[in-house]
Amino acid sequence: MPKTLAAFALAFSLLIYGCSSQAQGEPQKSRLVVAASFYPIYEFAKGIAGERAHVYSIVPFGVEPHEFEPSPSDAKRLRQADLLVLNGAGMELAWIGKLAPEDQKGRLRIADASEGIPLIISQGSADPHIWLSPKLAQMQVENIKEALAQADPEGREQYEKNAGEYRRRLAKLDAKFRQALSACKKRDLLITHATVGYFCQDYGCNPVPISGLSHADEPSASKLAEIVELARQKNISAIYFESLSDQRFAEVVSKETGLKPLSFNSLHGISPEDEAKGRGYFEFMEENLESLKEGLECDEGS
Amino acid sequence: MLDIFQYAFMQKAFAGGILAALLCSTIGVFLVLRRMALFGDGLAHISFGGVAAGLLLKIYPLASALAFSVIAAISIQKLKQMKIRGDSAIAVLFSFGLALGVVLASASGGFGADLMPYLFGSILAISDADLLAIILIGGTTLAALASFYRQLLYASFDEESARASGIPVERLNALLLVLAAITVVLSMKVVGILLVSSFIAIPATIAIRLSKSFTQALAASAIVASASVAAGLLAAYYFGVSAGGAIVMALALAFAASLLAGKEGNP
Repeated sequence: MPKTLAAFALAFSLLIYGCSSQAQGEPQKSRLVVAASFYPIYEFAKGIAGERAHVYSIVPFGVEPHEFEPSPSDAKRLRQADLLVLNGAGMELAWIGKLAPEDQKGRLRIADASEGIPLIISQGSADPHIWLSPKLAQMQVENIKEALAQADPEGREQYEKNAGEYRRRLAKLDAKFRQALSACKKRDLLITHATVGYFCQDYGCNPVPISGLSHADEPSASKLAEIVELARQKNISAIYFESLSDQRFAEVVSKETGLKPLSFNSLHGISPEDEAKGRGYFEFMEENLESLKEGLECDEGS
Repeated sequence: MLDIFQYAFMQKAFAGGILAALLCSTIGVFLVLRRMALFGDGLAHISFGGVAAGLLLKIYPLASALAFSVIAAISIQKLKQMKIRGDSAIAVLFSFGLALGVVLASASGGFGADLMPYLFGSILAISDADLLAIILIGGTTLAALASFYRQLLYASFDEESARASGIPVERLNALLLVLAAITVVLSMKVVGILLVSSFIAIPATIAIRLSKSFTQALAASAIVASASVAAGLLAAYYFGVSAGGAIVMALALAFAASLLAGKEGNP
């Protein structure tokens, strides 16, 4: 009896092995497969790759990347990829180790889109929210383009062309923000999390975050009281809520101070519905601009 | 006047925290007497699965959490009748509920941000709706406990003779567990799992140790619980530490103090 069982187990494991090695066999190797860690990196990489490479986002749409927990199928999918593009600055640190095991290091190229970008360090950690600055996002695009061109040298010309166009769109967006936010009555940007460090560095606002860099941080009672006082003293008129994040503390501050609640999309992710409708980085940044013009009381006309 | 009370969120933290503490610590005395101190923790984790199911099916999460924990409470009762020990029954359902929540959350592709407030509900972010719910449903629960007080008391101390004298012990036990389930789910949304389980277990343990009668134990439990909420919130505000954590620290300190006090009282 134990013998039959052993034979059966052996046959079964061979079967499984056969199936899985088949599944892992190279798919038609026509296009480069690029794994982008999460939404903005996916968006930039896709803009540069165009039709030439297949880009996918590791963190699914609608999931907050700080809270992402990779599943075995995510790891399996990554094994098919040729290039992994990270935002860097610590953004993927919590989960990337679980996804890209040592044995893969040789084959999989890994690119850090934050390379060469001067990072903001706050309380000992790097601020990863680089993509919210259209100016620095251009450097990220440049880094991603280089990584793509190195992984697929024949496509370099195409990547250069697409990246150039993409950078021009970002530069136009940057100019629009700079112009629109140059004449604002308010400078303090009260927001749910510390996501606007780079953004405010560019446009001269002063970030007042309720929680820290990570969406998991919770403010203490005294910190909440301090923010309420700050909002009153500085005569702040709006509070910005970010999508995909815990809104409870922003609601507390909003109730306490009677500030106008407005939304700011920090683009950690977009919903699958938005993706289907073709709404992405540029559309949401334009919405952010309108929302900021209202809350910071900017008057372009004068 | 302390400047701490000028903020509406602190007023609500005191009001909601103390109400949840009163509710949980009262139920706690009945549960701890039956050696079911971990019952609250178990139910809270099961309702975590319920919250996840609610978020996935897009129904009001508190309702599905309540349904889950009431079913779990009744199951624990049934399992006990099948001679599975109460603590084992709780352990089984506890792991099941938590795992169910995690599986549903990962299957849905993520509603982490919506799930977290239910798991770690924050005493600093109590909404008006939360407060109203705990006043209404909590009040009803306490009223139900009060109206069955004598029978519950009898059944808690001596099930056998209670049954012999014609008290419907099974039905009373079921009622108690359902009330506990309601209390846990409601308080969990307001103050989080950590506080709910400590409100149920610690004040009652202290009170039962120090009191000479059941009524005294109920009163002592309520006093210990609400005083710890106040002490913890003050510490959290003035030292800038986590409010939930500080409240549990206050409860643990009270427990330690009661051990010392108890020693002197009972040589």
